[in-house]
Order: sequence, then structure tokens, then C-alpha cells
Amino acid sequence: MRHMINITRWAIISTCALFSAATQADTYHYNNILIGDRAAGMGGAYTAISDDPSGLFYNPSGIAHAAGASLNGSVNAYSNTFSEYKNVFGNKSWKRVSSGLIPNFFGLVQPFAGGMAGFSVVVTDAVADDQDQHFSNFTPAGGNDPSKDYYVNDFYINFNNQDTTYNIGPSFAFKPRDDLSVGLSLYGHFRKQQFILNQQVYRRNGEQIWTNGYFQIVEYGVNPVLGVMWSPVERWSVGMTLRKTVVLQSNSRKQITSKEADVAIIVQPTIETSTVIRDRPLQLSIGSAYFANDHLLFSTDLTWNQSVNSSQSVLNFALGSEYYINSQWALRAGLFSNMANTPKLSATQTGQLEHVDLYGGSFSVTNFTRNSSLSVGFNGNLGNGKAQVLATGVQDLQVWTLTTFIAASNSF
Amino acid sequence: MKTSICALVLLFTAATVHAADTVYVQSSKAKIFANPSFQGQLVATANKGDALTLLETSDQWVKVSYQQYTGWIASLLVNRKPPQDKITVIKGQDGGAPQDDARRRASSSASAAAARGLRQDERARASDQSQTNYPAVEKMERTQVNEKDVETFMQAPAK
Amino acid sequence: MTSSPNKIFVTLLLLLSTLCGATNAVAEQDFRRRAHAVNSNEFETGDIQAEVAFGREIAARILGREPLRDEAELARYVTLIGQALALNSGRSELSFYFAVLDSEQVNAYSTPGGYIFVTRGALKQMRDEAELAAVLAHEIAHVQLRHIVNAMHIRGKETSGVMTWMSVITGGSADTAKVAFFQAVDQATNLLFKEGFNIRDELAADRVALMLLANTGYDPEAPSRFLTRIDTAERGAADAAPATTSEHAVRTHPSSAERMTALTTALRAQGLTDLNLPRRSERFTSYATHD
Repeated sequence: MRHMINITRWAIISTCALFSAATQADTYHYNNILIGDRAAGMGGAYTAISDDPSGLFYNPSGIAHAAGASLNGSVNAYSNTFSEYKNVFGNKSWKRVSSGLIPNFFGLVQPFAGGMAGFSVVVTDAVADDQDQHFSNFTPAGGNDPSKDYYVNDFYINFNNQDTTYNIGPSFAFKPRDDLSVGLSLYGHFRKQQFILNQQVYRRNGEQIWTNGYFQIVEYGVNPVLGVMWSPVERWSVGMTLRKTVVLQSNSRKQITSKEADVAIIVQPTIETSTVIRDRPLQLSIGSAYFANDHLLFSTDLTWNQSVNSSQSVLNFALGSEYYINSQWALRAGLFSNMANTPKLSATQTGQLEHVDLYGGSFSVTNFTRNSSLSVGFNGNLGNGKAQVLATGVQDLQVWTLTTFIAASNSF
Repeated sequence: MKTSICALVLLFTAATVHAADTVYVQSSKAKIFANPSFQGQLVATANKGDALTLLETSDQWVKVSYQQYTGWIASLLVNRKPPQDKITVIKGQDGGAPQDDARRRASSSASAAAARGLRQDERARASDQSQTNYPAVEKMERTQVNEKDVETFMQAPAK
Repeated sequence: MTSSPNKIFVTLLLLLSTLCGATNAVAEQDFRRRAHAVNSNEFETGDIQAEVAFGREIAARILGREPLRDEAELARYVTLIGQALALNSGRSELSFYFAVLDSEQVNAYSTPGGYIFVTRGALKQMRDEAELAAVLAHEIAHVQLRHIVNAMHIRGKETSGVMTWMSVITGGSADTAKVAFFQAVDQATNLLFKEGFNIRDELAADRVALMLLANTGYDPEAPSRFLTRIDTAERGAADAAPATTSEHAVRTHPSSAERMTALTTALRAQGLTDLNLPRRSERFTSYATHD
């Protein structure tokens, strides 16, 4: 799903053209984690609501409407992503699992200087992919010498990919008018990705191939988020958020070590470093919310991501609803999309990135006491697409994610 | 995802069947009128602690159903919680007839206050305006009337 | 960055500057308030205890400034009227106390927890029991509406939910709490003696007072009558000597004209006109007018 680098194409045939896509290190999706408590229950349709600490991320202007003197909230999520690359070797599939406890969000808001000030720590993306598989007795596709025996007795793959992005920073929002608020969050951006891929191939003809790749990238930057919220008529709210991560410094390092089929010794590692800064898309979200009464609200968001480098522009939607059974219990539900920013795969081309459009739903239950609330929720998404994990050929790819989250908030 | 769609549909449906709220009469007696107005016809009189079903709210009035009656009651007379017993600052003193232990309560409030750190020196440290007169407060608290006295007082000829 | 994002930024800024320049169109956004907000209006025993302890300290300050009128029968009379009104208030958990202050200023005070004061000077301006009830009802209304409690955020420790765990984890210093308590008392005393309630709270107390009066059985037009009289008296006094003792009452209460307009509107809106509820001027005269 979110495998940053198409290293998986670095197949068993040869170690040539490894990391062809490494420097382009783009995520394939932009909406991988739903941030916050209320927002995560509502499918992330929060641009026009945003009136609690998680609003600092979705639309900082919303916190100007936060009720109560001072609020803080934190969310922990346990996320599982299952990716299945079908029929990679004959009828054998590659299976990857990404799972981990993500300290999804922490934020607080407080009245300050005639407005509301806030501070938040957001994990905007977190991947912890893992693949440990052993395949035996198959002939991989793509061998180019008809006289050669490519039959594989044993193939081992160990793949581990950690990629986490943090946004940390202050916010301020104020209301120039009762029906209008403006806010800015100035996040510091920090990203670290690290992955290791280890493959061993034992052919029937006695040849042995071993490849080991290591890649790391550390990025520092800023992510200013500008938001406005306006209420054109009673009970309606319209919000707009504009954000762009500007990477200021990037250091990457890749190291490949291998033993080719036709040589007897391990080749010395090749190490490459790079300070190339990747461009990140400008993101514009427009949301609308209808506060039907104090028990019910509906909201909808559209988020557009600009096309940068080889990533295509992406439009995601989110729909959310919140219903209070009574003053102590609330239910939230939502639907959302998480579209791929990669082109659709063609059967004839090589070096293609995986493409899978995901659709998801969310649900949460919240219990309120006077000054606090506790939520438990789920969100998940599912999609079928295509991938090219080997040098040639296209596989069906199925991805599904299930996230459980627990959130607490307090007001003082 | 299918579950989520179901949940969403459920939410939309749930919205139409809004759960009824109950409110409780807080005053000793509460008049229920046909309209949100004191000039309205008197429909019923509810007593302290009676549970009413909340139907509608407006600024100073709420529409309720009470037994077989439906009408409007002043919103300040009702609350979502049943009326509480008298609460004092002294633990273990909450019950008891007010007229019986008025004196005792007054003096124990004073000691509770002292226990809370209302000593002269501490007050001077913490506060910039520390002229207090606790004996006068206790005297004020000793002026007690019971509900029966009040009733008699209010039923006297209106002169 | 390509040119299109820049364009969007510029458009956004233009939009902002246009909107900021315009005047208020939609009132305070109450529609954002969700159903759980009523939870914060729920008060537990600990909160009420905190409120009473707080109000009692302020009462001691008030009595530290202005002496109690030493007249037992008058005190009992004022208490009977006050209790009759209190029985019709929504705060049955409070013990209300009523007292007359031996001061020539025309004023009345209430503290959280139900300590209500009216000055001798105010009694002198009244013509009947309904007017006295009106003044007491207005003060009870401040208590009923928890104006000071909410402004100062006077709360006990929360005894349920996440907060309990928070307080277990964070602990809390008794000394810090004491200092905070006295600072809040100072603030509240300032509010009563210097700044006064804001106009919104005063008007809300007036509206609730009308309901209290009518529910108890007093003429709900008494507040307007009394207000008109002290307004006239203050004008007269101000003409005679610019800095009189009534200056204080003027400062801590909003414009009488504004209150009277609002009272008239409220009387009509709540159907409180022409109820012919008693004024009880004879009884008032027998208790309250001898020196």
C-alpha cells in the first residue's frame, strides 16, 4: 500500500536497476491515517467543524469556536494493514502486514490574546511493513535466456519498512467576526524512513543469489496550515484549509550488497547518499457541515492534492455524521476515499508503481462526563489494484486496513 | 466498509427518533400552563421531585407532559437531575431537619472553614483584602424559618 | 511551486480581507454546541460544597465592609420573603440566607451558595413588599444562574471519568488550591463592589427574577417600579452633589433605561402583565419603615 520505494521490483532475476525509484520516495496515498478523536470517527470530514484540539490539524481556524476554557485531547491508534500481491510466483502470493501502535495525536488549545492558541503533535503517516516469506519450487517469470534453467528451489524474503512522519507545532486562531474565523498552524515536519530488504535465492542449477538493501531518509521541514471557517447562514459552516509541506533538508543513504549468480564472492556494498529534496504537493481541503440540532450533524470534505514530480493529482472525499443518543453517549460514522497518486498500470510497461484506490469507513462510540470524554473507534479501508513487484509482469494487489483507536479529551 | 455504511444509515435513521429527555421539578410547587405565559390557563400543578417528559424548549419556558397533562412550565423550575437534598460544606451534616441543627451547623461551618485554612495569617498571605466578619455570617445563618412559616406568611391576606 | 498555488493564496487573502472588513452578519455560533455541553452544567455535591464555601467567604468580606443591621424582626421578615422566593427557585440544594446591611447606599448583593444582602438604604426607597421581593429575586437569580460560579469557574473535584484518573496522576497541592481560592474570592469581591456584573448577566437575572416573582405570588411589575424610583432619586442626587454614595450603585448596575426596556419586553413575552398579583404594602410598612 504505502511502500515508499519500489524496491520490491528488485527481484530475483538480477540486482540491476535496483532502487530505480528510490530517490523519488513518494507515498502513493495521502490519506493514510485519520487524525484525532471526533474526526477519525467521522471519516476525517472535519474541515468545517474543527472546533476541538484535532481541529489544529484539520483546520486551525476552527479552534476559535472551541467550547470551554482549555481543552486537550490525545489519540492512540493500533493499525493493521494487509497487502497481498497475488500470484507473484506462479500462484504464490506475497503478503505484507503493517502493524503498530501509533500515538496518533496530542493537542491542546487555550484562550490567548483575544483568540485561541494551541499546540499539537500529529503523526500524519506511519508505516511499519513487514514481510517474512519462504517460497519453494517455482519458475519465476521474466527469464530472458531460453537455454537457462531459472527454476528456484528456495526463495527467502525478509522485508521491513518503517516510515513515520511527525508534525509538531503551535497554532493560533481568532474571530475577526462572529461568523468568521481564521487560523494558522505552523508545524515542523520530521520524517524518517528506514527499510531493509533481504533476499536469498537457491536455484536448481546450483546457483545462489543473495541481495541485501538498506535505505534511510531523514527529512526536516515546515508544514504551514492556513484555515478559514465561515458560517454563511445559521447552522451551516464552510471551511477551507490550505497546506504544503516544504522540505528544507533531506538526507538519504542507500546501501546495496549482493552476491550474483555467476560470481563466487560477495560484492562490496555500494553506498549512495543524496540530499535531493522532494517536492510535496499543495493540499486544499474544502468542507461543509450542517449542524441540524445539538444531537446531530453532518459534514463533508473534498481534498485536492496537487500533482508533483511523478505523482498525479488526487481528489479525496469524506462524509461524516455524528449523533448523540443523549448527553452522555455519541455515535459517529463516516465514509472516505484514499486514492492512489500513481498512474494506472499497463501490462506492457516496466518499472511501474503500484496503484490501488482505497475506500473506507469509520465508526466510533464516545462517552462523556462533565469535563472529559473517552472514545473507542474503528476505521478501515479496502481496495483492489495492480502492482509490479518483479521486473516484468503485473500482479493483482489487494489492500485492507483496520485501525482501532482510543481517544481521551479533557477540558479544564 | 459495509458495516460502516450500515452504521451511517443507522445514524441517519436514529436522527429521526430523538430520545425523550426527562426533567424534574426543583421548586416546592410548579404550575403548568396551557401556553408559555402566566396568563395561560392553569393545566396542572406538579410537586417537587416529579418527573416530567421534556417535549420542547423555548427561552424561559419548557413544554412538558406530566401525567395526562401537557403544558408549559417555567424552565427555571426544572432540571435534568432530580432535586438534591440540602448540601452544606460540612461532610456528614447533609441530612437532618434544618431548624433543629441550625446552631450546630453554623458553628461547624465555622470550624470547617477554619480547617480549610481560613486563619487570619494565611488569609493575609493569600489575599489582598482580608477584612472578614465571620461572627456576622454566623448570625445571618442563625436567622432561620421553616417551610411552614413561609407558607403561613404567604397565605396571609394580601394587604 | 507552480503558479496555481500562489494564485490560490492570493485569492484566499483577498477573500479574507473582504470578509474581515464586513460587519457582523450571524450572531454567536450557538449551533456548534453539542449535546454533551449540558454535562458541564451538571453540578455534583463537591461543586455545590465548593460554591457554598466560596460564597460564604465572600459573605464574610461583605460583612467585613458593611455591618449587619441589628434588628431581628426585620431580619426574619426579609428571610420569610426570601425563602418564599427561594422555594420557587431551581436550587433546592442550597440553604439561602438573607440579611439587611446597615448602609445608606441603595444596593443589594448576592454571593454564590445563597447569601443575599439588601441595604437599609435600598429598603428606604421601597414602597411595598413586592419591591423588596423584586430586589431579593434579582439577587437569587444571580445565584440560580451561577453567574459568579461560572465566571470564576468554581468547581469541586470531578468524581467520575477521566478527570479522576488525571487528578490521581497529577496529584495537586493543597497550598496552591488555597491561594487560587483566595484569589478567586478577591476577584469575586471586586466584581460585586467595583466592576459589577456584565449587562448580559444583569438582564438575565432580571428575566429570571420576573418568573420567580410571578411563581411566588408577587406583582412582577415591582422591579420596573423600583428601578424607576431609584433612577429618579439618583438623577436628583447627582444634580445636587455629583459624587454621592449612590454613585456606587450606578456603577455596579447597568443603565436603568436599558434594563427597563428589557423588563417591559420580558413582562409581555412571558405573559406577566395584568396578573394582579399582590404588592403587600401594609405589611411592608409595618416591618420596614421605622428607624
